[in-house]
Amino acid sequence: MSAHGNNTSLSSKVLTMHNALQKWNRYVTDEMVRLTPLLARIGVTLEDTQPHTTGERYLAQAVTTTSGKKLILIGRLTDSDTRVIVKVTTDPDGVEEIEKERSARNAMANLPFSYDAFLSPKELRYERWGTGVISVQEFIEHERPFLARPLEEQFALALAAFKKQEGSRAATYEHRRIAHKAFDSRVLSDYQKSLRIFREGIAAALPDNQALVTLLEKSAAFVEARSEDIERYEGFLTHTDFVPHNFRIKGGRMYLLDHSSIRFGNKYEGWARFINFMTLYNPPLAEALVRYVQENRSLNEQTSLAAMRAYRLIELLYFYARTLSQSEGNLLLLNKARIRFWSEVLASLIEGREVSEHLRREYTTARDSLRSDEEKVRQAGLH
Amino acid sequence: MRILIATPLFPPDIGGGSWCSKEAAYRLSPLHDVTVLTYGALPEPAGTAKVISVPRSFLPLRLARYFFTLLHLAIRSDLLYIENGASVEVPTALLSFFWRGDIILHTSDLAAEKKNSGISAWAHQRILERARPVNTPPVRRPEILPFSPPPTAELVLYERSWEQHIAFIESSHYA
Repeated sequence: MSAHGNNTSLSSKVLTMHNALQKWNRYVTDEMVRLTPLLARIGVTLEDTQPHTTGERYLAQAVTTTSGKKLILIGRLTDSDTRVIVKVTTDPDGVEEIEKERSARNAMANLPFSYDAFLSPKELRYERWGTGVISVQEFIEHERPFLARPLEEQFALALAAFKKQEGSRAATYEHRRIAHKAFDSRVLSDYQKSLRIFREGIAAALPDNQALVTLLEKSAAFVEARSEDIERYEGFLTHTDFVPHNFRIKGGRMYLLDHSSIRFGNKYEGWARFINFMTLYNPPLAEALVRYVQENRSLNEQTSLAAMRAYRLIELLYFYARTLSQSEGNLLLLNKARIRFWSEVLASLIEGREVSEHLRREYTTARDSLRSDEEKVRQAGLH
Repeated sequence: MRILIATPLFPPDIGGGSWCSKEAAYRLSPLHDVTVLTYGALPEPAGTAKVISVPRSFLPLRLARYFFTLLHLAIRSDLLYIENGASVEVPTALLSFFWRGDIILHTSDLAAEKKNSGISAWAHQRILERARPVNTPPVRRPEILPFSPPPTAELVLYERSWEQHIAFIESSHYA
């Protein structure tokens, strides 16, 4: 490729990233201008600092295919100065997501089978806004970040949460009909289809990374070989994004913050997300949960967990692979480092070995040095 | 001995006697010819026991399927061990008109027992007249938690309770 060709390619990448960021910033500004008077009418004032609109948030919006565009803002009720969360969108997918979240929250309270529902932040206001919606919800303060709690407490809280989720089982014919009305559900064929999409997407974003392609082939085979156990544990209500920034603990009770991620699926999908997350943020917690399943659950369940962990790691690689075209400079380096790290976690999982602590520290050091200041502010106290 | 375990719930199902029926099948299968009849699509394996499941479909259809499968298997069995629950007790009560074998009833699902009314209450009563009830139920395996001392004493009690339960089951067939 000529120098001219290189420059064109580089500048088009920069343009893509700037376009995505500009588009996002324009979207935020325009929505805030339109929103402010409406919020004033319903008694809500926005805070000056809005961490959930900055940092890498634009990237999640640019690459995600599972959620619509929406703003998550922090405000206060004018009459009581109570802090609130404002979820607002005019994007049709975003509207669908907010309404799905509302339905999920209401449905959980009315499920006929045994399910000890988690607490949800109360919805204080709900307004239709042209083609959009605004949902104003209680702001649940962190008593203490989850990861700041003692390890034993983190383990007990996580295990209790998973057991609560497992308490539901859309097992009967009648329950399945009710469940399908209230929640999405995923079965083996859905996971298999998604896996194909993930592999194709990663290969398209990183066509020259033969090592990654080989790893993905082995990982897909690993998951496929465990299909029966993925299917065996279907029909469980699961929060598929069960990580500390999506729940709060207050007064010993857990509040779920994102009900749009609740669906019927494999029992271990939520475990997988959480354990993979803790492989980076708190490896002893990840190890404790894996050990718990090994010592207390059947071999089939252990297999299902391993398969779902591999599936969620491939999904994560797909997410980061798609960010590359929207990133440049430090963010590009960071996303490449993420791909390298999570590839190693995936390789360790399918090869049955530990993730090296050295590698984890190396990655977190690189991540912390490459993250933007805005993203650092957004991440502060999140977990 | 040919033992048929009939249960409404079996792992991956949670609740009721699902854990108990699996454990019983697992412990009995090395010594006896054990078959489990349950509902569901993909029950977990249980040692060398044969696990047969009836799909969960429209209620009358699944009960009818369960009954005919139960009849087919019971004819070839010496002992029928059932976990309580209307979806097993109703077919078993009907079976009792055609089959005179030995029956053990384990009432592990107390919530289901409380809900018995109408046909299910009749079925439960019919079975009680025929079956030997489990009076000393086995205990569930204690959890091994990463940050707690191993439950050594509880594990001993657990093993002992299962030895007694298996002995009870084996003694319930009057050959």
